[in-house]
Amino acid sequence: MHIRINNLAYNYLKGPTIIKDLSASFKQGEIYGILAPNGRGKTTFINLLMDFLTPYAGEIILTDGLSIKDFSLVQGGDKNLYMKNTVEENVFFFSILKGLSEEEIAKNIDKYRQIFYFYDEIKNKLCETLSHGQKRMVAIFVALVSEAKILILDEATEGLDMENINILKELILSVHRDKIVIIVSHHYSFVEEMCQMIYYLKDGSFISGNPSLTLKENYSEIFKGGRSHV
Amino acid sequence: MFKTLFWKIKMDLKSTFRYKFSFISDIVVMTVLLLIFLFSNTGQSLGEKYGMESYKSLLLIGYFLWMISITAISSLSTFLNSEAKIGTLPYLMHSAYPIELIVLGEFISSLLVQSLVIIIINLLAKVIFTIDLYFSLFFILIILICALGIVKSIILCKILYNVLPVTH
Repeated sequence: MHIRINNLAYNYLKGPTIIKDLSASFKQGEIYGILAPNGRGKTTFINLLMDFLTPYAGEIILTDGLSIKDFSLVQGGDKNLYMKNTVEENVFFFSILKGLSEEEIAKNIDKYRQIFYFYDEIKNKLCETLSHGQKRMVAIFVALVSEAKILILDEATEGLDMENINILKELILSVHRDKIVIIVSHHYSFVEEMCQMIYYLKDGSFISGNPSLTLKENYSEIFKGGRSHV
Repeated sequence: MFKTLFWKIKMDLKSTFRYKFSFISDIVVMTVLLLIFLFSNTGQSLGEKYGMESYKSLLLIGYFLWMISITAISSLSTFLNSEAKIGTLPYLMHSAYPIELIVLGEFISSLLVQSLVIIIINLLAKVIFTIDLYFSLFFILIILICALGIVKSIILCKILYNVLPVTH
């Protein structure tokens, strides 16, 4: 399972080129991080990857029978869920949308229940009554239960306290072997700890590297004008 | 596929009845609007044209058809907007089933809620104004045409979405 991106380019109507000559590779079993200050094209890149935008140059190749339906995007903010429905209804509905049966969903819930231990406590609550952090965790839980092969976490740690960040780490580590996990974040230390490969978005292209090479120091100019949690 | 349709209808109905204020305000607004039409003798000329003694029945059926038509239009227009706003559109666009099915579910649930509003207004009209309503198969046929129109509009939206450069 592999995503290959070759020389991707995109610009908004009457706007500057946001993505230019961007190439990257994402393989199964690896956790990838994407770092960049605000307004440098992270969301545009996700939208291109998710096929919500059409690049004007370059290509995105999905191998081994991967299709766009295998993607699951957990967006930042209080998004991803129907607020007037319960947690359980959301989990079932979005998993059914991915083609899973009710039995498979129940099995998957059991699989992650040990890590996501507060599921039983909140499953009958309306999503609007949950805290911001809980909503984020439920959205991530939905993506995992629905068996997405490619998991994209936009602003992954936004609004999460340390306990939830630890749960998130555990969830990602428990599922990443048969998935491609892409973490988009400003939270450098989280990305550095979790990811085998980090892509820094600079001038519309990726600068990639192993976190242990402390690329952040080498490319500290990327963060000029923007703040990042270290 | 039918399970998805069933779940979409179930989710929508549950969320509608959990937010009762919206449902009750629908009934109040629609009843007030009907009262305005009745007291302004709207439809009297149509009654004369069709040779109907009680033009109020004509007005009522026209009113209900209009309610269903706006349900059909608004369930489509608000669907894309609200799903995009709450961030669930990516899930729907990348689901294992065609998005037309989800829109149909949205329409059916809106139609069920609106039918309930229509029944309540019809009862009020019968009790307060003694207006009798005549139903026919033609009424149901129009509803089906509306549903078909919605699905076709969505297909058109999808084609436009793929052809035009979309900005977020």
